[in-house]
Amino acid sequence: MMRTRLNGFALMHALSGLGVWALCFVVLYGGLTIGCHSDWAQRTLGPINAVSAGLLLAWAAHAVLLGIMLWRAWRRARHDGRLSTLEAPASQHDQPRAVGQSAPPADARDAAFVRWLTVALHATAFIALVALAAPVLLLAPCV
Amino acid sequence: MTDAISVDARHQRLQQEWADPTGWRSLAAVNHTTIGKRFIVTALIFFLVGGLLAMLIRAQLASPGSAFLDHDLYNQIFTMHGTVMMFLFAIPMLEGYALYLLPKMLGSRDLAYPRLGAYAYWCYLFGGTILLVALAAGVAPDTGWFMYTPLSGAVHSPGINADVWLIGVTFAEISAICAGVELMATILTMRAPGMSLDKMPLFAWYVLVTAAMILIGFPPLILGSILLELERALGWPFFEVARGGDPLLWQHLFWMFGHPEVYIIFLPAAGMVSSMVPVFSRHPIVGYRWIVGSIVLLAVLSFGLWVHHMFTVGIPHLAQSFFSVASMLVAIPTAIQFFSWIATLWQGRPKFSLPMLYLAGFFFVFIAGGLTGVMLALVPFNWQAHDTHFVVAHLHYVLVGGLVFPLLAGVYYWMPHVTGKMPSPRLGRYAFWLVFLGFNAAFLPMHLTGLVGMPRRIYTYPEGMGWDGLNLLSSVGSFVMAAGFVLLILDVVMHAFVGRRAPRNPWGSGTLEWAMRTPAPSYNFASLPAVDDRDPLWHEPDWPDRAAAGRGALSAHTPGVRENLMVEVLSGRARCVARMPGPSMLPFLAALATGLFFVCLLFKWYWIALVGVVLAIALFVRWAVVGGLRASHSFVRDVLGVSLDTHHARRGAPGEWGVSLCLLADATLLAALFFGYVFLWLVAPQWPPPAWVEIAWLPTLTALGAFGLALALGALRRTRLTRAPLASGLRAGHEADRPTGNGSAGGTVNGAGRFVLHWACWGVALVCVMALLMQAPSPQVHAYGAVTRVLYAYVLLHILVAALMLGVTHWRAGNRYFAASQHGLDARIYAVWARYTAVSGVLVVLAVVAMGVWS
Repeated sequence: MMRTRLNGFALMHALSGLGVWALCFVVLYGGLTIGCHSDWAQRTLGPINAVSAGLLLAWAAHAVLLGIMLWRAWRRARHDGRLSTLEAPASQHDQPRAVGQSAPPADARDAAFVRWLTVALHATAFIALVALAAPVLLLAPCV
Repeated sequence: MTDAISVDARHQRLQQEWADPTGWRSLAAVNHTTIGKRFIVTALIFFLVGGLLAMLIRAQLASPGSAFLDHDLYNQIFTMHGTVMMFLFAIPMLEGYALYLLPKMLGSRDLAYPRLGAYAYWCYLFGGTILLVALAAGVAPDTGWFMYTPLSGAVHSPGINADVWLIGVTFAEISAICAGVELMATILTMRAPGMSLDKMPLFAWYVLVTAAMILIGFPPLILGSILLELERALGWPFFEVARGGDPLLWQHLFWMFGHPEVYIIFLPAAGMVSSMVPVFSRHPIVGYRWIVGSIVLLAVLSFGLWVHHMFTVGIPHLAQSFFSVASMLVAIPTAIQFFSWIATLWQGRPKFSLPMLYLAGFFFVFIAGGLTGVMLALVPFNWQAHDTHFVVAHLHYVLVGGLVFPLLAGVYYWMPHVTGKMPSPRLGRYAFWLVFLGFNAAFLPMHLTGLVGMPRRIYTYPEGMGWDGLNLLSSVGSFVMAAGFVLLILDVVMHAFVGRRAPRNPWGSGTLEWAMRTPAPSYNFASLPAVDDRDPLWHEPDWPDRAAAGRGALSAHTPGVRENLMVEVLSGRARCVARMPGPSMLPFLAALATGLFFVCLLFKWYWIALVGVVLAIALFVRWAVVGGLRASHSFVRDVLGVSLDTHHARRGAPGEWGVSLCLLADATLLAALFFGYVFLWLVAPQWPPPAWVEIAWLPTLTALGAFGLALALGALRRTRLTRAPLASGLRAGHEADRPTGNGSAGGTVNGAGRFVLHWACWGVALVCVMALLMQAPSPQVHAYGAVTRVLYAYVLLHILVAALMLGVTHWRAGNRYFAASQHGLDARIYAVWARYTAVSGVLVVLAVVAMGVWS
């Protein structure tokens, strides 16, 4: 199986899911402020006011983006066979190793670590993103 | 390559090479062991000052109607208690631990920028001294450690007190930024060969994330301090409602820093816990990856919490709920770490040594603080408890639990490393129980005093409020806790004299800081054998012997040269050899010049402040000029069978990392400034301003063109700008400096031409931005004009620095201060700054134009 050797940018990729969450957070907070400043809450878009509708649309765009990122990260990790440690979280490092016993090959271990980190961080970012949607659905804006 | 010399002879050679000077020349010390210890000792002194202030507070509040302190003095004391503990004790202490320990844990000989570390220390010392002198003179800050406006504005605080805070703290924050850059670059690039990211000690992960948080978290407060000082000194209104400002902007900027700050303090302390728990459990940490993931998650989430300090200021409920959700989510990664520690204890065979006692205290106290934190994250409860002693109790449970107890565990754990002596188990236990019981007696009742309505920061209270007994108990408890700290310090001092000699690796740790003789030698490791495990000392017990015997990388020693190994970020493969700078007075002198600037600002001696600026620039330029090599050598080293260049010849040299990380902090400051710009526009009551900026299209478009050209020119590394000066003035004996292999005349003309173009770009940009700044509305009339001018001033400053860097590069090239192989490095560092300046310049100009056109 062809395995890509990862470099430092893989770390940036691992953080990108949380970056999407942070961006969504800023967009929701900033969008709410701009929406209320512009009196868009008085207008309606279908059954809900324009501010909430706009926020939900923005949230959905981020959710789709993050969902795709998570799916791709998962698929890549599966393809590379690097999620074995996700399925069996106790890695070789967590097991006592006899003196002199050799460690697994370095490349495979580096990649497995970063792939795992990417999937885990994307997944938790997605959960955090879902949590952000609840207030938008439940609360009126600008009050 | 291994020299055929004895272990002791190698030790003597390296010790001599890496040792710091003594006597008055010790001001020039740069070794990380020395700088780390200086940070720790200085932070301890500040802790004692802060503790003394806390005892005065408790003495005052012990009984109702007390006349022990008047309200003016009380205001200074509680403000200074918070300021000293947060800015001068907590962060510097953790930085001190990190600076001392990290290279040793990572299998490195030093930090990436030893001189920057020294400069950071002196800035911290001088900034802290400004605050303490002000306290002694009775003009200390007195508006609370978060300096809310308008109370801290010129109208309500006309004296020098608030200026002392703004200037002293900003000075000390320079230190934190420097340390952040230093730690991050070191962790990512300077480790033992083979130490990939997944084999790094967890403490390094914690500090890596913390350093990144410092670089992102501190700039908003630095910006806030600059803006408030501009308002106080020059009358530019950023926080004054009548002239278009908004005091809430200060609160936003402060808490954008202030909440991540809690985690900046907690994470390194949690890193210590993660270092000690496996050792005393005699089992590798359970869930290493989960901990790494949770640290990163916690760091990012912590930047979405800041408004939970502002739930009562009138922000819409929906906006509050975003921050409330994030505040509750952040408990999850914290809990993951706790479960991991518990699982490690569960699976291991714990031994209850002295440091473990303090860790038990941490578990109890911090969990209690975390739970009250979740309560405060809920908006309705927060409204009830806001600004009461409940919050005081919560924050002390979090900070003392999350910082002080792990720190004390760390004191006992690493004490033998520093002194080579074992601590006394008996005194240490007595000290623990005094601190633990005293702390809980002091702060547990404070939850109740808060819930029955006692506000924080009041200097006295009448009888009959139901607060008397609880306050007395708190005061007695605080004095018991103080007695515990006195006993602990006594123990620490005494053990150095009468403690029994510590064996090597006395606790049976698996990490590399114990792979050396103690007290630690100045060079850390005589050579750097490859690392193949997270706990090398458990799985490769002969690692220390191999290192000492020179059976690792960099075993060959060149007299007069300090060498360290740089590795690939992810894999930890050796990639080049870094030549490290030795002792120098420049950091000390540069910090003095910086201090002159800040002190003159404090007293409004602006012309003398300029002298400080010029002096500081001159010293920094000299620092840069002498930093490189002056003659060409064959720098290739044989490292574990692989030939490696020195860092000058490779991309990703320390200088490039350093400037990039500085720019990360810089970009955050700009983002915070943009936030302020938009916030005032949307939220401040007195908007729109009397007049919008009139777009001057000629300078605007010309400036955009100049920035675009600067970007298009690309990096100077592709040019050959040194060729002409070198060809015309080559001195005998330096033939090796001559660039080889590409000496066409065309190259000379090309390089010189592009070099001139860079000068032209900055010249044109400078003139245009200056013109735009002068055309902006008056900064004294409305916040709009003030923010617009600050934005342009930001760009101007960056252009000037870019020109300075270009000039230094040009001068060094012309005078053959560096070898041909190093030439690319100077230009690459300049190029990073130039690109950022161009991009930020474009963004600022477009932002001002957009607001002018939109409105």
